Amino acid sequence: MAEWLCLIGGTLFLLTGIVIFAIELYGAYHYHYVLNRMHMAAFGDTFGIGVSLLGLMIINGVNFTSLKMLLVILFLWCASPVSSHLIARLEVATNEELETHMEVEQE
Amino acid sequence: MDALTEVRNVIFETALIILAVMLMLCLLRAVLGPRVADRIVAVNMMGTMVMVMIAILTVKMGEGYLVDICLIYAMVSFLAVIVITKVYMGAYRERKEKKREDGNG
Amino acid sequence: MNVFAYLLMGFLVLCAIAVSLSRNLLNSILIYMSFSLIMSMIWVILESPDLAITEAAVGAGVTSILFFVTLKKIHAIDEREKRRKHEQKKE
Repeated sequence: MAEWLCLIGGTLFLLTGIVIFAIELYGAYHYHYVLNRMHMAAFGDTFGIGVSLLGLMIINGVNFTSLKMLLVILFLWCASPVSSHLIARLEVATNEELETHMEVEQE
Repeated sequence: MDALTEVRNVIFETALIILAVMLMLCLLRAVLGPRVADRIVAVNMMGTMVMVMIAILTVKMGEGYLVDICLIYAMVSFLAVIVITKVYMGAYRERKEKKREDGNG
Repeated sequence: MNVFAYLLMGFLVLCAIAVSLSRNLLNSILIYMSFSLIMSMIWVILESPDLAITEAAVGAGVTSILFFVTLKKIHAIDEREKRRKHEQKKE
C-alpha cells in the first residue's frame, strides 16, 4: 500500500514539474524581449526542477540517489540566480537601444 | 506486484516523451532568438530539461550512479553561461574600440 | 523505452542537419551543444554512465566553450556585423 502512495505522491509532484516547464516554455515564446523571457527561464530553473526532482525523490524512497538529487537541487538553487544575473548584466551592457524596450531611470 | 512497475513505466515514459518534445521547442527558441542573450537563456533552459530527463531515467532504471550526470550538466550549463558572457563582453568592447577608432580615425 | 529512444534519435538526425544549414556560426555551436546533449541522453538510455558523463562533460562543456573562445578570436560572434558588411557590398 505504501508503494502505491509513494508512487501517486511522486507523480503528482512530477506532473506539476512538467506543467511548470510547459509554462516556462510558453513564457519563452510569449515574451519578445530577453529580460522578460529570462525570468521565465529562472522560474523553470529553480521551481520547476525543484518540484520534479522532489517528486522523483519521493518515488525513489530514502537512499543514496535521493541524497544526490537533493545535492543537484541545492547546487542549482545557488548557481541559477548567478547565471541569470550575468546574462542580465551582459544584455544591459551590450544593448545600445535599451530605451526602446523599457524606460531606464537615469541615476 | 507487476501492476505497480507497469504503471510506473507508463508514467515515466509519457513524462520523458513530453520533456523530449519540449526540449526540441527549447532548441527552436535558441535558434530563433535574435540576440546572444536569448540564445544563452534557451541553452540554460535546455540544460535544466535534460537534467530532469536524466533524473527520471535514473529512477526508471534503478541505477543510482546516473545522477552524477545530472550534477555534471548543472555545472556545465553554469560554466557555459559564465564563459559566453565573458567572451561576448570582450568581443563587444573590442568592437566599440574599433568603431571609436574608425570614428575619429 | 524504445519509443523514447526512437524520438531522441530522430531529434539527433534533425540536429545534425540543422547544424550544417544554419548560416550563423553561433547558432551552429548551440545546435552542436544540443546534439551532444541528446547524445549523452542516448548513452544514459543504453545504460552506460561513463560514456554519458564524458559525452556531457566534453561535448557540452569543453568543446563548445573552446568554440566560443575561437569565435571571439576570429571576431565572428555578432551577426549584425555581417549584415552591415553585406549591405556595404550591395551598395
